[in-house]
Amino acid sequence: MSHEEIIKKEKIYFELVTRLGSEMLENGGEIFRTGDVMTYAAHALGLKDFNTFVIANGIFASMLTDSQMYSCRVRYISLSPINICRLEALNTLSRRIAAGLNDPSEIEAELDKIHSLQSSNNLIKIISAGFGSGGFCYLFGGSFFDALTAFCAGCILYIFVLYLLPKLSLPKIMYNIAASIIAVCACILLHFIGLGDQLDRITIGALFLLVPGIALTNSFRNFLENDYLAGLVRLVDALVTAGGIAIGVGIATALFL
Amino acid sequence: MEILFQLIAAFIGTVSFSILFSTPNKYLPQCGLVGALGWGVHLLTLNVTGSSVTAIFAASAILTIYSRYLARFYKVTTTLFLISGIFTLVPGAGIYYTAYYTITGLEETALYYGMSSLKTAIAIGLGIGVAYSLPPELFGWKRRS
Repeated sequence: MSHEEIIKKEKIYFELVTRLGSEMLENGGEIFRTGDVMTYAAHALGLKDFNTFVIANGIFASMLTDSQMYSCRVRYISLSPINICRLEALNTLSRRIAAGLNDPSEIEAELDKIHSLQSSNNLIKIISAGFGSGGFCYLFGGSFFDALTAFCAGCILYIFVLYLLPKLSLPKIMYNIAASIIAVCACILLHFIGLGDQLDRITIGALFLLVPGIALTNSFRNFLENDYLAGLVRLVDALVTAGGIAIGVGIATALFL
Repeated sequence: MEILFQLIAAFIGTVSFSILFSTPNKYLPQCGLVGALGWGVHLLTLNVTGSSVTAIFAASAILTIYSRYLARFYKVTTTLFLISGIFTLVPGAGIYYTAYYTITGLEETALYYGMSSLKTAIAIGLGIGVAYSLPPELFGWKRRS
């Protein structure tokens, strides 16, 4: 293999490794795990002196090219919802790379496939949003009727979340305000026509679809795993999200109650 | 009877949120069991000790151990079961109440909910940390050379 070919191959591998890492982070992978996966993959693909620094919304990676110069790659990753089936597929892929898969085109095809992987369609998501709201409404002390009302409110909220809100392309805080206004309006409306008893229980059930509980927990997990920067980013994100939801609830209650 | 209904609600809630997190369909029942186990341990510990933070800590440690066992059994990542499983414990309602009472002007109530969400999140983090610190050999993994 000629000199240029080696450099070209190193570049392709470097791109694939950083892409693997950013896909993993984007779909909710843990910070330390993302770093580990990239390092193992780079090692298996023969990249020299590979180093990476991962935070919640960015990846910085560098390696030694051609034994004399350092290449560096920075990737920005937006904080986005967790997608476990993609995470699992990426994990399988990283295991295959560690076990010796080194054909660049095959890895790339696999990454493309994972990028659009979905485990269920929108109808199932809407129904399960309803069941989730109902279940948590009951856990937070609601009655069966409250849970049933929360089920309807959760379904209504998710219809808006899946079909209407993406079309508006709102900034994140406006998105949260709009979504929580919809949720609370749905709850108030259902309560008004006679479904359910305790409005605040129903509301918390429906809002459970939006609140950043996992984000807050993950942020503290990052602190405890020494990823302070990642933890801070997630903490601020969780606080901003919660603030947006609270503002939305405030607006909706001021309008209707 | 009430406890049974609560466990069923925790199971349903966890499975639903697993679907929203796009968990592969074949692992959904296991995710639900992890969630129900977490909530069960939480209720039990809360009853025995009366301390919410201890209950959350114990529940998250035990459900993480169970997730690690399942992850080994099905040869997948622990995260798959863990993220859905801790959903019954995370301070989602707490952080919402904190923000809500802050903007409605009830600072003291907001502080109370804020501190309790903070403690819950730290307890979950510690619980997961403790369970992750157990040696992988306990779950049948071979040590990476």
